[in-house]
Amino acid sequence: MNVKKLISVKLLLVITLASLLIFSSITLLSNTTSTLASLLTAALEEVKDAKVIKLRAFCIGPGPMPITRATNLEDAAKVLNRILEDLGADVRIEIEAEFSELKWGPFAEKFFAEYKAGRAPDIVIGLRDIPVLAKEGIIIPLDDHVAAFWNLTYFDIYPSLWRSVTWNGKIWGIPQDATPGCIWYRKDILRKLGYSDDQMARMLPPDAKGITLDVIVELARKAKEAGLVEYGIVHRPSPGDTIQIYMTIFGGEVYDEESGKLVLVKSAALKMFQWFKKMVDEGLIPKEPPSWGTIHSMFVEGKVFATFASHVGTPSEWMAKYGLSEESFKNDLGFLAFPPAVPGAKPITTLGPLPYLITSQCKYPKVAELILLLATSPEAVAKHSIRTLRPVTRRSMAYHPALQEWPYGYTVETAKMLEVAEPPVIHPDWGKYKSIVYEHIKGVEAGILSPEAAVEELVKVLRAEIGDQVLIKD
Amino acid sequence: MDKRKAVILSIFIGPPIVVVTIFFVIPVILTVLLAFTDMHITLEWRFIGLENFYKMLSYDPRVSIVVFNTAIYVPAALAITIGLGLFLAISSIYIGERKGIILRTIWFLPNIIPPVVYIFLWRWFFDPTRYGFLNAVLSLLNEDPRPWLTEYALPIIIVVNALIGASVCMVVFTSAIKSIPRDYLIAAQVDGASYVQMIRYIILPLIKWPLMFMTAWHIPAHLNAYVYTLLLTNGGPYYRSEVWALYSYHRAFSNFEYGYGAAISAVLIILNAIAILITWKVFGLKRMMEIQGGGV
Repeated sequence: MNVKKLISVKLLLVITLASLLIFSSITLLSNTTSTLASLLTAALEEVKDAKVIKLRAFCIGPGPMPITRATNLEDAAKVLNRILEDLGADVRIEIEAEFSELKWGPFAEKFFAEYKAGRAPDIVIGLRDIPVLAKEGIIIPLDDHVAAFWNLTYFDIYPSLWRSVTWNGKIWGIPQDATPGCIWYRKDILRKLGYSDDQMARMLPPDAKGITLDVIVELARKAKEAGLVEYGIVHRPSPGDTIQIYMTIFGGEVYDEESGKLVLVKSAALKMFQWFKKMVDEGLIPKEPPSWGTIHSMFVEGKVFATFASHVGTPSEWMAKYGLSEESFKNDLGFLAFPPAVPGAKPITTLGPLPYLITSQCKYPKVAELILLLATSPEAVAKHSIRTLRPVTRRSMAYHPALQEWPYGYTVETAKMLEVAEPPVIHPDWGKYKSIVYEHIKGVEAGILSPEAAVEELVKVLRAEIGDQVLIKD
Repeated sequence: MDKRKAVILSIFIGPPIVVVTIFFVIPVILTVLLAFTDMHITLEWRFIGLENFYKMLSYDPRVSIVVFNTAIYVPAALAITIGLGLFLAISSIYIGERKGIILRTIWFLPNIIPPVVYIFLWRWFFDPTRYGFLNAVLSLLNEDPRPWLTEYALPIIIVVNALIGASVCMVVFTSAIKSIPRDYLIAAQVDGASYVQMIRYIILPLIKWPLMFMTAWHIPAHLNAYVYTLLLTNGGPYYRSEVWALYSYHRAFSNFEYGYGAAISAVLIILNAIAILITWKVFGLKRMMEIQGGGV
């Protein structure tokens, strides 16, 4: 084929592709516009003759950083009011978004008490037990809404986050936040041990591929022996999704998708308990888990080499409450996913997702859906990530101008973990499972249970508490 | 009883009866009713009969350790409460009025400090790192820090709870001892009795009512106490300091199993009633009331 023909073929291909793109965009846009119009119409029908629609929202911290969960809802109402004004509609939306610093348990109790009294908020963010909420009819499915706006905006949210709000074939929430768990470690301590930044990057890659947990343990041991730290490693003083992490890196699993049941793999649990015992015996992990405040302050002050008790967004809390400087955050701290502890296991991080939910007591669900659409827009996501340093929940945020420079570019970097994060376990007894396993870890660390006895007791207690909803495998 | 006396009695006893009914009787009835349901976090419930009690007695693997801990904790805490309270009362009188007031003031401080502050001080005292008070002392002796709350969880919560009760007993017993007619003590001294003999043969018999009252008060107090244990050890490590009242709290408010937690509390109500009846029997309440009423 001569050059002229080649050029003309290429030109033809380009024109064809461009036409297809333009046609698709127009189609999508017209589809989306017509969908938006029909949904707005449905929303306006919902409000009928009302002049002011008042919506209530409960938003959890815990702690002061994620206040953007509430302010984004308020901003969404302002935008929606502007749209309504432009449309000439005579109705306005007012949203009362209550931001609570209560912890998870008390927040849930408050919500259920209000729900039982018939005064549930219209929108809630802070409840994670989607199967229970859905089964009891406390929240409404959002499939139609998500489908209608998928091409406009929702396609952009990480698929793992959509999986986290899907149960029984339906979508029950709009993802707002994610906190992938990770190991944070002190680079400054490694420098004192003689490691260069290049060596650190090779030894401790953020995706933890090609390494094992032994690397972390060895470095923690060296740091302790050199007298540079009080403890090599600290972990959570309470149950959390790290239980899923521990079980997985020791070669086990916690959930069977096929049967929809929780799983205990005894051999993985034994290896896990043996590891914790060894770490305590060597003095690398404290026998008695320190409190949250002590864990954070010790790590920030450089008295601990690595913490298993944090997620990628924790630095915002360290900077706000524990005196971590931006410079120290940039230069002295590193993070990575949890590497496997045994051959055959894989690196893991967990999602830690949190969605907006609409309750069944909401009188204006269509309006609430539009609020959530706007409260999870790219701009809202940017505001939330800038405030909390949590990863962005949308892929397109990689190009957001406010998130290109340090430290906000960090939220785009850490969002990559959302692509590989394990989906959360969605099972009504998952909370009980985590608590029971955690108690047995503490029992082993305290020297009350041997690892073998801990496995036996664990099986007994799981069977008594969770019954046939847990599969026990060897 | 004439009408006037009945009215006066109603005015005085009526309000306390109303308060006790609203804040004790009704909650007890509701707790017992809840014990027969499976109410959980969504506040929905179903009547399930004796299922919760069956679970408690048959297949809850933690009940045995919790019962064991409670069986150790209550008598030990009670012994320290009454014994230490009596010792402080007698000592504070023996050392003279001025020094006695200072001693009683210092010992009463735990009672007037808010519980959270009280526990924070103990947590600092027993902190597992070298920044805790005890471990700081150990580090001066070149010893490694020790995880006190892990190794000695149950004894520590016994002492921490008992000290509160002891300070109350100290005040009550001091008042009771001071109200003993001095003639008895002077006569005993003249007869050559030692201080120990005076305590044994004069003071203790004459303060039997306050002793019985404080014992009857503190048995349910220790049976139902959970706040200090919750804040200090949270029942750990691995249930080694989990007592019955705290177990009820954990089941209800940590696991959100309100029905099962209520069943555990219902057992506590029965235990309290039995404990008080036993106390009255041991102290001979009926006989004491007869003597008080002028009998022989």
